[in-house]
Amino acid sequence: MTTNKMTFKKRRSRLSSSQYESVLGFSLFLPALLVVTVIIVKPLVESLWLSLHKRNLLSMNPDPTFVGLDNYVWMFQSDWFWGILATTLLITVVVVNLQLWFAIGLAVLLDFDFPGQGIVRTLLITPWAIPVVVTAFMWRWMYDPSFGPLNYWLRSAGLIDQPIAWLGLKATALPAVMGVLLWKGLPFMLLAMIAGLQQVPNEMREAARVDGANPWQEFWHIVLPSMRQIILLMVILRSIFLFNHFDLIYLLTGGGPADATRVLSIQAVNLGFDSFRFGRAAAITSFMFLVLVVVSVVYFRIARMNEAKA
Amino acid sequence: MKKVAWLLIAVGTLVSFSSTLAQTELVFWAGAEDPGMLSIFEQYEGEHPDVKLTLEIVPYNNYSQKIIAAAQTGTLPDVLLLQPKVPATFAGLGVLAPVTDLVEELGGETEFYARDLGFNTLNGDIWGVPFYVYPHVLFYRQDMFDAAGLTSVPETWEEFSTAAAALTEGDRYGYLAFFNDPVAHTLHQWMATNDADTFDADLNIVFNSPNTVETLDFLKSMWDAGVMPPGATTYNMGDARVAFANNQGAMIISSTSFLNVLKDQSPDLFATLGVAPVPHNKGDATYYAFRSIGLPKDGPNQAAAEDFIRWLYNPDNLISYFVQADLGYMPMTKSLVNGDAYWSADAIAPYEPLIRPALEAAANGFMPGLNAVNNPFAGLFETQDVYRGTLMDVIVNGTSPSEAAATAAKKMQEIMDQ
Repeated sequence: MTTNKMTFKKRRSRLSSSQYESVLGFSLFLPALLVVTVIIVKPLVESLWLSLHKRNLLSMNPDPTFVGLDNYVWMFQSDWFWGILATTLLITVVVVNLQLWFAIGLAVLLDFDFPGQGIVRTLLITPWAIPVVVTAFMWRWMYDPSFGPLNYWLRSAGLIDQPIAWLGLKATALPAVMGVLLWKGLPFMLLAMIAGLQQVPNEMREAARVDGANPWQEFWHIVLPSMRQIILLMVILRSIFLFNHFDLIYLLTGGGPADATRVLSIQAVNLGFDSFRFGRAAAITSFMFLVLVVVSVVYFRIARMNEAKA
Repeated sequence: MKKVAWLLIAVGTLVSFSSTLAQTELVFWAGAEDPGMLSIFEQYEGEHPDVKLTLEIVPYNNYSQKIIAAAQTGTLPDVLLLQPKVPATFAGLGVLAPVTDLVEELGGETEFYARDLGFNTLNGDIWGVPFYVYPHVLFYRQDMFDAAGLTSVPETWEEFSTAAAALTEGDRYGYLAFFNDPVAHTLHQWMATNDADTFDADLNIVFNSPNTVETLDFLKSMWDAGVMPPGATTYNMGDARVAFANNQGAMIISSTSFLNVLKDQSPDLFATLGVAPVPHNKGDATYYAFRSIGLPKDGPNQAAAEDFIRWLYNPDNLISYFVQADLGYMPMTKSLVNGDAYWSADAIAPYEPLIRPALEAAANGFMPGLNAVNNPFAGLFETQDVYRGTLMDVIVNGTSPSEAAATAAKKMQEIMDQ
């Protein structure tokens, strides 16, 4: 007993106060780490593992077969891959850009005081609050050629003679889907730009005005550069979100018509849950993950370079 | 006194617990809630207090996936309501138990139609007990026909496209087609009437036959002629039905289950509604859908499940089901179809003029991919979107029907090879 007490006292005295705090901090952090490991890391590792195996549920064979990179080779050689990748990238690049510039423009406008500013802000944020399923059903109805208000308004204004099946034609389905994605994601970008705008030092703006800069010059040379960090962060975050996007596109068109709006995430779901080829589906999702890891690494490098310059 | 009260409570709890333990629970999977089924369950439980029937709804668009997943994890239900291609597909995968003996017991070919048994047969065994049928027929608006000066219902493809053109005016369309439907009903409805199919008797793929190409071409020509609504490429069957009920079109080809929708939501339409067989070209089959009752392989409650099915197929109990089920679901047993009891039932009699032609048309039933020879592949072509993809390729992409059919045939072969 005495020996144990002495040992305990000895152990305790080996830990300094900061070490003790580290151990305590880690112990408190451990449960969250376990949850993250189970929910994120384990499925990720399993998905990567599955992508290296043949796993066809239709064969009713419970044991996957190791095939190395065959699933990836199959994917890159498929006649659908490059087209779907192009659609995914197009949606990502176009929608992120539109969201960014719309958000910056709206943030600048909302920076001015005007009556009803609060109400306008609230209305602009509303799309974000609407659940995805409701959004999809709402816009499917809006776009409907027989019952939808969009066609009604356009015909009433004399802009079209016949109703357009916005989600049913190859030429219009992708822009229509992008429009919904822009509408849904704009509030998040807007809030970030509003916050970013408020970080711009007023002194610099005043100094620019004193030096004779017009509003555009002030915006382009002072405001925008000051918002660089937040813009970069939001572009990366929104790009990741849109590159991965599944639910809204799936609910609106299912990837149709005739694959016009098919993106990588939908292809993965169809391959896994309709064709039961889980190894191949995992190859698609693993490829997407690797692309996004590269994008994130690039972002962090640029951010560090910018910090160093500053 | 207190002790006696506690003793009574304890004994009562034990008795009810043990009676619950003694009760067999049968889990029944179906794709949609069916008032007839719920009523039948209640009736069965009343007569068999040792059995509890539980209906679990698994939406039909996920049904196959759920069955496969459940088979892998050993969580299949005790009884399954099977979609048309499922018996063959899942028999081939070893998921179902054969019900050949049970069907024989229920009357075999004396009671069931050879055509329906054939669609449930694979490798000499029967895998589903035919339950109800709902064929696809032409629904038309007599008032719109009268207004357009049409004195007869189209019986051929040519007559149909002519009528559709005559009935198209402004925002009202002659033919309410729907292409965005995983089962590709629209394609099969017309393939049935053109002697086009997926396989021949030797299980060779013949989807890219001239008859299929002609069918695709026919649909494309009507699309180009503007007799279909622009939203047809986004419509599923439900959307097209809504349009029909809202006077947006004069003709729609749909299953007889549409009658139930109209009965609930647009009963006034019955005054001007007509039903006719789908116009034919080189063939005169009727595309139909049906449900069979299946049992999982090595199910723990197979004996109890078979008892339930025996009870259900007692003609009185079957009639009890059909008069309470959705209108348009029709019996597949000869005793009910040929007898008076079903047709004279209060819930059925007023609709006999609409239902009987449909049931007669179903005598020459067509089931895509299964007509020549039953096989486990046809269902997979559906879940992997080959049929719908082909239709969309022609209508939306403008791909030539022959090229689209050839591409589809290639995809089908790949699926079979996997």
